[in-house]
Amino acid sequence: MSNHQSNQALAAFLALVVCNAAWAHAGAGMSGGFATGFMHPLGGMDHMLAMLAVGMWGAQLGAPAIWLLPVAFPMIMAMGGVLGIIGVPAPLPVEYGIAFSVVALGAVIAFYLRPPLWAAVLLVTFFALFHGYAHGAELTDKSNALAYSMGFVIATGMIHVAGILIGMVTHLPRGMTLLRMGGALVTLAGVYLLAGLA
Amino acid sequence: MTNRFPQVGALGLLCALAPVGAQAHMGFSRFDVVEGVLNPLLSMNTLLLPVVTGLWIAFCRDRFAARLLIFTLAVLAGAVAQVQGVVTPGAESIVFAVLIATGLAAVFAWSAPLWLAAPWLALSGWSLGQLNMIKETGTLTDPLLFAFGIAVGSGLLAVYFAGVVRARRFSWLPIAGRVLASWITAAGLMVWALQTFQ
Repeated sequence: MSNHQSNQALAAFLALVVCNAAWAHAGAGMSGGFATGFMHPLGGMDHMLAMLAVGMWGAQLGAPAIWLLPVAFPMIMAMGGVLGIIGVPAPLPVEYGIAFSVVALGAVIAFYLRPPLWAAVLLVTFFALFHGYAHGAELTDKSNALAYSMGFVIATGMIHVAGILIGMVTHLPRGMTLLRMGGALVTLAGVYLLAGLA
Repeated sequence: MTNRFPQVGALGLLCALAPVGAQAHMGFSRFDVVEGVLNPLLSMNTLLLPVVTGLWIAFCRDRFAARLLIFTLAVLAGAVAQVQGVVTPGAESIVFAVLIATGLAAVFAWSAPLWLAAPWLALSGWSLGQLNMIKETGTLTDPLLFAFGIAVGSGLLAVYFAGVVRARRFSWLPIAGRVLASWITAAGLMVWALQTFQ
């Protein structure tokens, strides 16, 4: 089977799956839960900037960080979600943790920090705990929980991918400078978010 | 053979779904096999386990066909057993537990030996078959045909995703498979926690 055929097969399968969403009434059932969950990370600037930064930093560091960071993030985010669901008290207000994650992740891009892979994963997953905690605390509807969770996890992944695509700018002349400037902007946005919380 | 798995999966699903459009002209109010094939696609609870099982099998080094067959036959056995009145208590919780475990196995690309994978896949398939049958079977003309359709649908999903990753037509496909597995694991973990602790 050629690559083209493989793509066609995948597209056909996805089309089959996606059309199921139209069978249910909008806002209810699997499609409703999925759509609500999918939109959730897109509605908050703090979540979105942090996840974009994870993808951008992964692209800046190159393989294997480019895929390892976005794989590790949702897994640990889910563990943070479990802590939020159980109701384990957070060591500091979650909003501060999330805002600080925006500052820190922007800064590592701006300063082009290249720590060992394990340290990069540790840093990203530490912040993922806060993001997951916030999601988990909001996840209360058991009937659509899986569709909702898949929605926001996929949206999170898509934002990582968007960050990776932005990070690809490093292949262009002066691309690295542009990316570092982008990281600085993310940090500034994080400072703004922190100031708003104070 | 594994290069043809995506074709087999996609074509199988298309063939199974093809009669849907003609139902109105055939005089059948229900078309049980087709309903069975569709059933795994209609709920995240039943959709994700075959997908992640296929991804895991793709990362195993040998006996792909045997692993897929064990899974599919176990789905059939679980669904038929439910029709016969054999009900496994807590099938949904088992599905979530194996979903998380299988997802982690796929994320880490763990090639489990067949002696260990076989009971794992059998448990996955059995509980998935049972979960699929928890619906209004009283409206079905022939629940056994419906159970057969469930096994076909679940098996083809696993075959498709195993084949897409296994074919390795693109270097990024195995990574995409692991990313998808991490998303599914993350969602499963949060819902498992929600069901267990709330």
